[in-house]
Amino acid sequence: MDPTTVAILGIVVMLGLIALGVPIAFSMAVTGIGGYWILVGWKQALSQIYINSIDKGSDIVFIALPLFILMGQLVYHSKLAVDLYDCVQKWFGWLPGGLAITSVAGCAGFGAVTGSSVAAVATIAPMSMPEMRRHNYDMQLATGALASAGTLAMLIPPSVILVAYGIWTETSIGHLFIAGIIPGLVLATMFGLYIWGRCVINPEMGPVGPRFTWNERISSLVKLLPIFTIFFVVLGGIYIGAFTPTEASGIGVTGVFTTALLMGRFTWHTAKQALLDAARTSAMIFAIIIGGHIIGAFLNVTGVTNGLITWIAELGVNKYVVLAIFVAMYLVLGAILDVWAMLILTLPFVFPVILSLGFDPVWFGVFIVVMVEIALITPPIGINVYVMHNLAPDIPLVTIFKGVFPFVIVALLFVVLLTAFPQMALFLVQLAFYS
Amino acid sequence: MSSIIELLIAGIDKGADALHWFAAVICIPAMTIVITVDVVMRYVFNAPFDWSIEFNEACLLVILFGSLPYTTKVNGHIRMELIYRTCKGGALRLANALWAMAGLFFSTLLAIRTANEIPFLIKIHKYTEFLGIPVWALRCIVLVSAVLMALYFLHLLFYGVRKIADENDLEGHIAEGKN
Repeated sequence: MDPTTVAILGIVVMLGLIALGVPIAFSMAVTGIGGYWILVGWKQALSQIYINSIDKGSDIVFIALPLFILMGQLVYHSKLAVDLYDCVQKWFGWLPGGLAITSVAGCAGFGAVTGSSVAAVATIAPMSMPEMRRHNYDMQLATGALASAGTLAMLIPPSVILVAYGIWTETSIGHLFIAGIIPGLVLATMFGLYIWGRCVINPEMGPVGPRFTWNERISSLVKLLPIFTIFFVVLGGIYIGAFTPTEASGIGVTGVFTTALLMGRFTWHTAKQALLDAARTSAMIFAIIIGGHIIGAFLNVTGVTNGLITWIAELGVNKYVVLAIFVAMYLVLGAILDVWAMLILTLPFVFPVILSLGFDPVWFGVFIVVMVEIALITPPIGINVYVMHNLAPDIPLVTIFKGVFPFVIVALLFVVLLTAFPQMALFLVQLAFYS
Repeated sequence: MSSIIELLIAGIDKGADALHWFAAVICIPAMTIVITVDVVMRYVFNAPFDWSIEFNEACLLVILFGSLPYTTKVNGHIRMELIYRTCKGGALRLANALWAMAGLFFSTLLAIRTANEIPFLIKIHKYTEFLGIPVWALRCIVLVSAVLMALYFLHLLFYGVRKIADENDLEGHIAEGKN
């Protein structure tokens, strides 16, 4: 059998297994091993499993993954975000739609110390929903804003998705983190502006909240010191080259843990829960990354990836048309796959094509995270929407999905901006690492 | 017969839980402390640890492989359930069998390859450079992890899916409204 046929058969088998509910990590690994076995031989196939598992399992870069997951868990359990929300509300609450804008800013701030969108929604929603209900906010706007803003945690560093992308594509995680800062802030601002504009046009959707004095606003900033300090130490350390992302993750965990301990917000039980969950989530991501590497190695042997690149080059299609096709593909995949599956399953094909088209791998990391964010709020998977629904069970799922829709449009508009102005992601990277 | 199987699976559960606990509660904090102290030693005393990378690599291996059997036990691997949820009767049994065989294939091959490597590593006396950790001991953790996973998949193949809730699954808890 010629390699291309084996590759096509392999892809069909893998998609069949995934469709039938076989865990995606094993669907990829088994197909990769089988294909490798047919094309190269039994011994080499066995070696692929061993090399990929051991190499990735002891790759120093991988350390950042469990530690950043743990950092998010610790922030979630220690309720550090309560102070953050209180401060943001004092600054933005008085604007039209101010409480929804507060939710967006709160999620963005929460994202600065965690990389989990689910934790962001679960932390900010219980604080902001009662306030928005009290001020008679339109529930479609309120829940849509919260579910969508939660995704910002994935883009604003430290981001777990960016760590996984960096590991898989061998792109510098430090560069990716720095690249995520401006796009994260721009997207948060765009969400905020959308809410503000909508509430200016129709003030009943988001009545203004309480106004605070400048004294109260400024004094509330003091409470933000722990979160700001951790963020600036972690990101600042990477930015000035004081430490690697791996070291930054360790420092971040120590910082959050010490802060929460000093504030009396930790018990042995919550710390243990955070640790166990961080280890389990890391193992789950690890399995899918191994699977991705094995299928990637198999596709490499078949030459199908190079064939795809050559085929696209021969088509002579504009690179932005190819990118638009990828956007459409990710929108479809995001509706049927989990975000991790979507990421690892497509990277073996998409990443080489993106590189051959001349796109920057760091820029593409930011781009793909935005696509992942959209997947988190689009039906039928849209985990953030389900989380939001469980935190506000009286609001029907359909209402939340309707509320999320304008934010998906805003995010897509942001993708266009990011593509038109790649410097939005690359400016700080060039300033920090190449100037 | 069924009580023997129950005893066996209880034993496997205990092994997976213990390994997961050790990985999470011992290795993650140890790794965090070493990383933090190493940074402090480097900048404050200009004396970083030579052995920190080696130690962290070993911890990472234990964390990831140590938690894989537990993740398998609680069905914590990512899957697409759109079609699976609609399966009933024979279709469900087929889907479960495919799931079990795919996992069994992967974990058995990993176990075989690792088991082949261990005697060789013992024979050549391979130790880590600074801490002198025997490399075969680390591979034993990979082997135990692969064997435990293989046993879970065998159980899945013959006895179907076990409904085990993960008490520590934050996303699951929130999504199910238990938070």
